[in-house]
Amino acid sequence: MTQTLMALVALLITMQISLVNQRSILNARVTMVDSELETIATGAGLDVLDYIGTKPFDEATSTGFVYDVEDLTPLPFSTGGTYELAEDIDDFNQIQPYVYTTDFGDIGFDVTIEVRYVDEDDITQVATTQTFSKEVVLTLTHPNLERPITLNRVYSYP
Amino acid sequence: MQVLLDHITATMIGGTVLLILAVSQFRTSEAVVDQTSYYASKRQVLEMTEMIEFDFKNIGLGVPMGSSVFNEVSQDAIEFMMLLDPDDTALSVVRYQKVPTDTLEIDGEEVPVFEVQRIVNGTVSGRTPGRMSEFVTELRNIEGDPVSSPEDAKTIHVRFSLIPPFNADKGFLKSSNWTRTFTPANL
Repeated sequence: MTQTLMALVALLITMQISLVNQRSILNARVTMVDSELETIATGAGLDVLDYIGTKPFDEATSTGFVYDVEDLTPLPFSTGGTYELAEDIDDFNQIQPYVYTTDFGDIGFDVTIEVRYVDEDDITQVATTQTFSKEVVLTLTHPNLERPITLNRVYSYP
Repeated sequence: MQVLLDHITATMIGGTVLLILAVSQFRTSEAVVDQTSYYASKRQVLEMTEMIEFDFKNIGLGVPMGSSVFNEVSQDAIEFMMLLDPDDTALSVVRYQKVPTDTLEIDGEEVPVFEVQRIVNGTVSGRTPGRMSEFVTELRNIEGDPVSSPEDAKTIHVRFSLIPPFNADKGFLKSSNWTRTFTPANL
């Protein structure tokens, strides 16, 4: 009787060990998928930043040279535009929900964009008035990404 | 009789315990190999991207306006002109060429794999591991639609997949992937 009980206890412990192992394998796989998604998301984010960089710095600079910062779009930037119809950099500020679809199994990332002026002498500082530097902060999310990918880039004029 | 039954039960349970432990150990070992192999291929992918990003971002650098940037764009190769260094006086011809290396069995299917050579002015100056299963370059317009004429290209899409170095057939992820769409200033 004692032997049987001890064997049952051993069986329970073994099953517990097995479960822990399974969980650890599963976690490792989730991390691998996350790493793969992070790589693809980073590429997608850089694509979007490159695309934004093809647009004029400001509505005012699309028609002629601007010498005075006061001529640039004042804060706050408008919101609610669309990715496809944005004509200059600040038009991307808080656009309507946009999904960037990659060609790897049609994986799509939800993209949110924020645009702000930054201090030209210290681009880590957000400016409260117009400057010749705009920072675009891009956030990509996906249900299987552990945490969102955030990228930023500063565009300067001229 | 009771003692005998106890012995038989204990032996059976003991056997089961050993079997579970052995299977668990085997699966853990496989998972470790799988992970190591995947991260090795991921590291190789990221190393390759440095070379690819440098070239594809600067496609056409120094090429006079109106001159053709691309010499060839096909499924097996892409060849273009650029200044490798802004101080260079002559344009370089950079070519990315697929070279078949082997055939691997993945999920019961034969997958031809290849390496991609970077050839600068006729000399091989870099190569990827020989386990590439996909390397696609596609000329696109600014809206992201493929174009057939190099003159209409404003962006260039690059996509590739690298198969992990070992355990590829049984591995959880069969390849490490990378994709970018470059918008070179000189296109």
